[in-house]
Amino acid sequence: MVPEQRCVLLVEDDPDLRAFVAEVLTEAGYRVLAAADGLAALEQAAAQRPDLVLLDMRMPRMDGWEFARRFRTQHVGHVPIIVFTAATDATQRAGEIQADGYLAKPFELAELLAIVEHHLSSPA
Amino acid sequence: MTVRAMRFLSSLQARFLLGLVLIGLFPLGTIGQIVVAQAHQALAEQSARELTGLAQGLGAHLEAYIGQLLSDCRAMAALPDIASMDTARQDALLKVLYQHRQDYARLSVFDRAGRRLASSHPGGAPSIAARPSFQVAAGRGEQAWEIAPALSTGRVSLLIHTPIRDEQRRVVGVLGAVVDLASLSTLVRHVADQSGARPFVLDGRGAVLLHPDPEVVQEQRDYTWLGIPSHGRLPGPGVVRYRVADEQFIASYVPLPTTNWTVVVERPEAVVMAPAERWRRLAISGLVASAALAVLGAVLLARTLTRPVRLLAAAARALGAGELSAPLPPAASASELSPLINAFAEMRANLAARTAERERLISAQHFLAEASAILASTLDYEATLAHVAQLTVPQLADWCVVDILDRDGVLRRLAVAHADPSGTAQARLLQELAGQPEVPAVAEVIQAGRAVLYTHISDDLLASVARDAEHRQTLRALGVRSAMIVPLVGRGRTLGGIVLVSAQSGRRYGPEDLAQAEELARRCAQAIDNARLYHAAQEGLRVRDEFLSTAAHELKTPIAVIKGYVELLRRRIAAGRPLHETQVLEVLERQCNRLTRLIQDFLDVARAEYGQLELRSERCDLAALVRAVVERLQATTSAHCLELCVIASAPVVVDRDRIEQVVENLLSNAIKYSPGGGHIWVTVDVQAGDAVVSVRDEGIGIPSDRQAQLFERFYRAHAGTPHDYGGMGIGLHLSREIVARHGGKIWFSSVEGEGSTFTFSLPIAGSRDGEGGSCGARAEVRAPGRG
Repeated sequence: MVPEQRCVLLVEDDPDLRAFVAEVLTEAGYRVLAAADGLAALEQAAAQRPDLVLLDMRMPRMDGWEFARRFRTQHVGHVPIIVFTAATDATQRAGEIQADGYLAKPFELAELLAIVEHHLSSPA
Repeated sequence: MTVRAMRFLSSLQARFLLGLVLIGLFPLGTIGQIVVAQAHQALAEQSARELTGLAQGLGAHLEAYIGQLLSDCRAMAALPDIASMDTARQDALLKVLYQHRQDYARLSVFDRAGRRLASSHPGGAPSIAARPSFQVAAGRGEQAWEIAPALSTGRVSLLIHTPIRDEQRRVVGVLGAVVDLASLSTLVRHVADQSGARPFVLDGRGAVLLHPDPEVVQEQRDYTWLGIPSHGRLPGPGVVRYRVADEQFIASYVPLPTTNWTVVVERPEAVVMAPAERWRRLAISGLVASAALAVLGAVLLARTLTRPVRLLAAAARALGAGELSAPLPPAASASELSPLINAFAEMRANLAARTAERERLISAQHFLAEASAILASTLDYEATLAHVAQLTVPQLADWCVVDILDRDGVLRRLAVAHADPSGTAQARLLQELAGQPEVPAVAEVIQAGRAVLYTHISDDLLASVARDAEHRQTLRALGVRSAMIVPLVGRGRTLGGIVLVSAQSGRRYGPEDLAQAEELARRCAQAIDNARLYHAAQEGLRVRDEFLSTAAHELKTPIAVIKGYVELLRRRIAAGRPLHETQVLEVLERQCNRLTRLIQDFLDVARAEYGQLELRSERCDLAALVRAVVERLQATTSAHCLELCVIASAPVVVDRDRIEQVVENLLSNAIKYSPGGGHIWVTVDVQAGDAVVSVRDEGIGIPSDRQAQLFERFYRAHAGTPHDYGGMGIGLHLSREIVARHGGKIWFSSVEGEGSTFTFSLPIAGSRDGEGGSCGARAEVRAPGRG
């Protein structure tokens, strides 16, 4: 669409949820890179630097914690990470990896869009 | 004072002394007294005899002397010059005679009328006619004498009157001779000087005639009080005793028949009895000396008699004060007291033993209480046991080793304590020991669950206990003397063992020590058990919390999808955009099924927990059942290749859905934990009369420390690891329950990083229990729940 279309890296192991979030964000005008686990996500991020990461924590192969650690060493400059978790205390998960925000499952559609927009519009 | 005297009198010593006096000194004294009295008697008799002899001698002497004087006078009277009665011639002769005869104080011639005619000395009494002796001489013509004061000298003298006769024998005159008694007394004095006795002569009236003391002679002192008979009625010689001027005398008297005098020889009794007195003194001093000796002997004897008693009393007092080592008299020192001393020593030994036993018990109780306090202080039993091990030294042991059986059955050295950790060589050895695996003997004790007591450890025993020569060398270097190995048994399970060793202290363990060690071990085991139970409970709580969190996670994901699509659909409808409803509805349906299955799983877990898992058993072909599941799951993954191999198949009577659930669980786990994809082998076989299904993958495997709890409810082996792929930890648990309900077993083997093989067996239909209905019957008798 627009040349400076903002890129969201979506890391989520559940295929249905991943598909749904990707669909919503794409519809909202973002470019969505989707990955089923941390390892795949790192590969995606290496290919194209995302403007924001929407990160599930529990995943096979590489979980959110490991991904966050590696992602931050790979990418100089701040890329906001939003923890996207079903855990009962999403804030704690967010704190564990010094995430910029969190979105607890299940979430309102508006919530998802608002938090993504908020972190993308704020000066990086 | 009197009390003290009474006390003394009632003492053994006093009685002993009294007895000694009564049976020894009193008779001795009496005999001495008798002997002395007899000596007195003998002396008195001897003295009397001696004095009588003296008196007789003196008397004879006197009589002879007087006889001599009388005959001398007769001779003089017969001299011609005297008989001539010529005064001048007589005068001259008398002077000559006087010159030659010292015995006479004066010689005179009287006529018959008593007139003095001639005299050896001028002067003197002119007439003596009145004198009785003169009258006898002149009148009767017989020589006569008397004792009277001389008229010429005035001194008491012996007057001898001798008739002078003429040729016709007529009395013509009288020769008078005066003999001073003093010269006779000289004779007496001479005797006195010789004999040490005092002789004196009394006249017929009892007055002194002769006496060594001239004064007494001149006084003519009266001695009639002596009671010496006189006046011619003289008895034979005798002895008298009298007292003069506080002096006791003994005297012998002898009458002289010719003169009617009495010769007395006296001697002070003190002189007489001097030898007796000496003997008496000797006897008394002997008696005193022997009494002193006797007293000394008695005191010594009494002391030797009472010393053991006093020592015993002191020991008894000391015993009362709790002192058990006061010296006792040697039992041989007082044979009569020996039974008492022996009994006392025995009593004391018993008391000491009992006291020691009580102190040991108190100390043991104290020790156990202290140990219990430490054990109860925390649930970190590993640190606590190390602390307790420290507590056992040096009270119970010189060194202490605590070995604990880990959850996986491996014996681990938990603590090593030494009484003297500064003993460098030993400390180093112990350090070595701390890192070494268990001693076989300890393992045996732990296996048998029974304590072992080594009262004495010989080299042979060390050799049998040691693992090898080096270990034996180490044990020998530690100077092991005695040892106890007690198992830590809690609720019937052996949890480990405690080794208590006596080395440098040289202590030998006995059954009491073993009992104490076992009690300690019991309390330690209880503490370990409590701590483990507590940890298990904590772990249970943690697992439950994690399950809840996991369950929420598992439930939230499908709900998030459902909720999201519902909202998206609503937005699209509102915005009039295309719905793609077929695709959306598919997703919704899938997620609803997922939710349903999750909820079904929860319910199954709950049912299994209460033994309410219902089986609808039917006869079916296991291989076909497995094949169906394999095909279904192969459809869900492209990364994995599921390969089924049916080696042998047998009919089984099972709840088809439940067994499918088990196979699906095992297969989906194999897929889940093989994230890199790859082969998964499924085998159906018949082994040992059972139908067996196994699922092998080449995935990440299971860490060995997490394998033991794998089938526990809510246990998730990979929770919190990079391999935590979610799940609720109920699949394997449910599978085990289901297989068990069918009378089968489930097990696995796994190597971390290499993969896992899960296998379950089911009884072949008709081989054991016949038809499947009996499965249900068996289900009925199962105890509800697993505790």
